[in-house]
Amino acid sequence: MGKTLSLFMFELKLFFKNITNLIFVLFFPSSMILLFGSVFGNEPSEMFGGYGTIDVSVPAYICMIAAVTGLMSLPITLCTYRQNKVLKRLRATTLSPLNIIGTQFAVNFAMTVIGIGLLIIIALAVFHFQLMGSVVVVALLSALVICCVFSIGLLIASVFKNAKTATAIANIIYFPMIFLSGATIPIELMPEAVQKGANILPLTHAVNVLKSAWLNKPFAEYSVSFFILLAIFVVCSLLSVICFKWE
Amino acid sequence: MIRVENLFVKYGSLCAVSGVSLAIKDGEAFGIIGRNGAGKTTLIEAMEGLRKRTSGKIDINGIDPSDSRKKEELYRMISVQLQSTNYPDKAKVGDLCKLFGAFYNNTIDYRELLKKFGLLEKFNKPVSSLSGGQKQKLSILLALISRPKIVFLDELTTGLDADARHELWKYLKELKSDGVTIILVSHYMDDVEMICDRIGVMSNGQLIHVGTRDELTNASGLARRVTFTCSADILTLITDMPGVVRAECIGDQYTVVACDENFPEKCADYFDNRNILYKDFVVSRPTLEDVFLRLINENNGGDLNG
Repeated sequence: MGKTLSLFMFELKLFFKNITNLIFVLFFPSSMILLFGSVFGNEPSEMFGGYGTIDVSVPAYICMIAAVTGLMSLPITLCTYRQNKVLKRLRATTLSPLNIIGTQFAVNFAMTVIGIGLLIIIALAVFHFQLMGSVVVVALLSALVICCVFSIGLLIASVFKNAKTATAIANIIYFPMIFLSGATIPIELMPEAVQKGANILPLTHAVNVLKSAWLNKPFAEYSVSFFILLAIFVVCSLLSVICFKWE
Repeated sequence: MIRVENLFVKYGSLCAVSGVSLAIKDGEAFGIIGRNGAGKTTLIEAMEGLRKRTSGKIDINGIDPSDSRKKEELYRMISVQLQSTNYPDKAKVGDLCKLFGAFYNNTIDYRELLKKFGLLEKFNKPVSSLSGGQKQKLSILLALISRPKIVFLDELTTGLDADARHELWKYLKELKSDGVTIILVSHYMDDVEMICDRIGVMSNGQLIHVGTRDELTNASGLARRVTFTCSADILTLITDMPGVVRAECIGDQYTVVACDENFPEKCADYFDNRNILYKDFVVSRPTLEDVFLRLINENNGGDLNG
């Protein structure tokens, strides 16, 4: 087994030993779909512009899952590893820096995909929901959303050296973001002022992009959000590369 | 062969390593001692390629450790045990060993190493179940899996009990007899004394002395260490005796370090002449710690005793 793959499997095992991660990536989104689905069903609803609750919830929950792995798991693991000198120790092996950071990225990416997969399987099996847009477009945009959220996580890990501070910051960013962006509670339920204010949150644009693509809306309707995500990804990635410290 | 030439490492305005030159032969065990903040860890981390140097040269068997293109080659040859690495609590001991094994070709069977270090029954246990000493052993074990030619050990025996330290010394001596070069940084003089052929003394970022135990003793000028018990308060008397470098008294236990070889006889005569009663009079050569303190204090230009 290659060394990078070995590190990947090692970290994947550790991910499965983290109960908080498992609850928020696997259990929570699926339970929410089951809960809201059993209450509202997937009948066309006026509030969601004629779409069903499940149809609009699944793309939003994809963003919620990416937020857990990208804003919590990724930066907290990196900061803990930095503080415990694990990063430094790994650097003194045949692994390249890209191997080390890339594996953290890849493990969280893989777990996000698994979380999304589970969510979609449950939604399909229980509620007969449909993807109205193109599978390829939705998959590519999901990848963009994950990369964008992860780049924010990497930036948190680069700027805040201490694991405790990083955890606090991750929580401060994570919780308002998942509740106000529409990732957990449909943004349509929010007062108009909140809906407008939520536009400063990157996750709002992530939800908007995925939801629009999911419902097969024309690109023009979500192009602004798309370019905002792209810009966030580029800027945060660059800044993390510049600011990142191994110890 | 390891060569360090005129090495400087600066953190902003602080000069952590200041003009160090050093050569370590293949198969040699080299110890670095110094107070906290003397620059020991910075020096070896520059040698390990983990810290950028400000100026100077480092050559590890023909490789410059700051050359990122030679990184793989470097870390196949050298191995490091860092001061206080905390591996993830939930990781299993066996999984960590497998992981580090996967980074290299031609590794040692980690089960054999685990057995040697008395950790085999922990194979399926998480890191959190290890005691401080066992964690330290694991950290050292992980550094040995790759069959390194050069091993850097930073604060080797921190947190280890006496048994574990003796065990480790034995193992490192075996390693040395296999031809592995060992570079050891420690606060503990006996670690260095037990394992190392030569010792470097660091102070304020400089390597102020390098030599064997005997060479350092000679350089310090110290000749004898005398300990005895005496119920009278004679510390000032002793401190004023000719040749005394350091004298201390804890309870009724006196320790005197002197640079005069005949000090023990003179001291005994002196006590007899004044009817001072003493017992358990033991003469030995100065300990490495005595030598170290003397060298450091001389270097600081002080006549600070201890």
